[in-house]
Amino acid sequence: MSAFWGVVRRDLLIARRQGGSSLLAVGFFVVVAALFPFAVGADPATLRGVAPGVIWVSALLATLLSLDRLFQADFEDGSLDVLALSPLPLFMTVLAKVLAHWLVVGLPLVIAAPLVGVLLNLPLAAFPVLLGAALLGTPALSLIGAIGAALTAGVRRGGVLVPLLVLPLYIPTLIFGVAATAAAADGLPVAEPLMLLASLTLMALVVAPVASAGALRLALG
Amino acid sequence: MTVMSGWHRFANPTRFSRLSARILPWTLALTLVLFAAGLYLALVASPPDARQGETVRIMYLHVPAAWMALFVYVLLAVFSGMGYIWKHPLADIAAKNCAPIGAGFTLLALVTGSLWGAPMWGTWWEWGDARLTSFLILFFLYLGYIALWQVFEDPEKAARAAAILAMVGLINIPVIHFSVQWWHTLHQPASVFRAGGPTIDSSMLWPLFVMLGAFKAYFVTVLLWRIRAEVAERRVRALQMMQAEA
Amino acid sequence: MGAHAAYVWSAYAAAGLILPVMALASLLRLRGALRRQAALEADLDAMRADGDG
Repeated sequence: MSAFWGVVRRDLLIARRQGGSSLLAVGFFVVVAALFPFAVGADPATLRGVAPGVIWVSALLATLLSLDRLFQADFEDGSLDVLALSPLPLFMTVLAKVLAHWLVVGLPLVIAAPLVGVLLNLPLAAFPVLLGAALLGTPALSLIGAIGAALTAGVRRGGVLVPLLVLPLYIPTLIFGVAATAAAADGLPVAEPLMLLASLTLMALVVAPVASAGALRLALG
Repeated sequence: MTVMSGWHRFANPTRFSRLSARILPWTLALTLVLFAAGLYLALVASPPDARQGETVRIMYLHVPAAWMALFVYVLLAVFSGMGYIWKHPLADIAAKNCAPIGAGFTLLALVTGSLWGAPMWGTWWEWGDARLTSFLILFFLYLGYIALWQVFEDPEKAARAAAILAMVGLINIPVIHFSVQWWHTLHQPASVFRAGGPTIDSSMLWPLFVMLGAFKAYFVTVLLWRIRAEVAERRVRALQMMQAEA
Repeated sequence: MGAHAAYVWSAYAAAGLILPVMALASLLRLRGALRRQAALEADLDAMRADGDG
């Protein structure tokens, strides 16, 4: 177990030394969301209507943008080989790296989500559900994204492929995340979409580390 | 072990080529006969539907295409699993060559679904239709699978990476379908369309059945052509290497 | 056919385009590959015969 936390701590240290990963993701998130008033008009009612969808699509794109950092750097400097040789099973290493990625990228997005909600005129009553849904849903984005990142690790021009591989798999998370947020904004019950969102994350927790580990072994082999 | 050896008997590329060369004339003939009969039944011999009118004839293309689009993806994932576990190149080649045909079926299902819906809904694309939306996502899954094969230079690595993607996709298809269906009940559109799809009259069954058979025979024929082509291409590459060394 | 004939014909035209094009492309690919393979095998046989002789 200490090996697991060792990988998490190592990745967090690297992220802090390089700096800017969280800021980059949050900045991208806010800027993309801020584009929408210019695109759909400044009418508060319109903005309120599209707000849940815009928040989730922007968060999803911000996550997508950060995925190339997940394995690529470790692959290039050879530390992935070292990690693969350690007694910790590779899928646990993947899980540790995904957890670190979520702490660096996903959690800041969750914290920034209310800010974007204010920009887009989302009713205040929806904010607790927005936070809850983001907490439940963003881990799934990191987990599913890890599959795409692992499949293209060690492939030249693999990065451009990641959106095509990952975005279709993001659609269920998007649907339930937006549904929970929109239901809260309209004062409707939110339990069902939140529970479905949680089950998506649980499923990704089972499938993604194993699939990513298999893909990484290819890049290493 | 018996399963393994049974599988390997067919998996020998030379034996496969000989066997498929013997089967292919029959599947090709079956494809042509079934398409001729299916087109006659679909366009001439069947009556227009009471509610859908003439557009029901689009269903004789749309339903088999949609059915095959899904079937081929499942088959692709099964071949991928076999190739991944037993590391057999022939299973990898079969999975790889399922993809363009399946993508073609998906595209056809999307086009015919849109053409069927246009006079009914008044729009070319109706997001409220859960099935059409699911098939659009299936089309993206096919594109991702095909693209992943392209970026690897080593065919063995490409096969294993693509197999992982195919199996993840297979797990996701029911999830995607369920979520899109769930989303659809949230945004119930004002249309003549019900969630269960149009009811099937008995006069529709025969053309549908024959067309489905035609699509199946077409798939087997084209898949065997493509596998044989790829086996021959790999043999050519191996021979060129031998020649270069000699 | 009735009012919607254009939609029906368009659907069948789409099928008449997609399916034969896919089949023809696959068949041409197969013929090309088989021809190249036969030519190479003949070459190699000739080389081997030269080596023996």
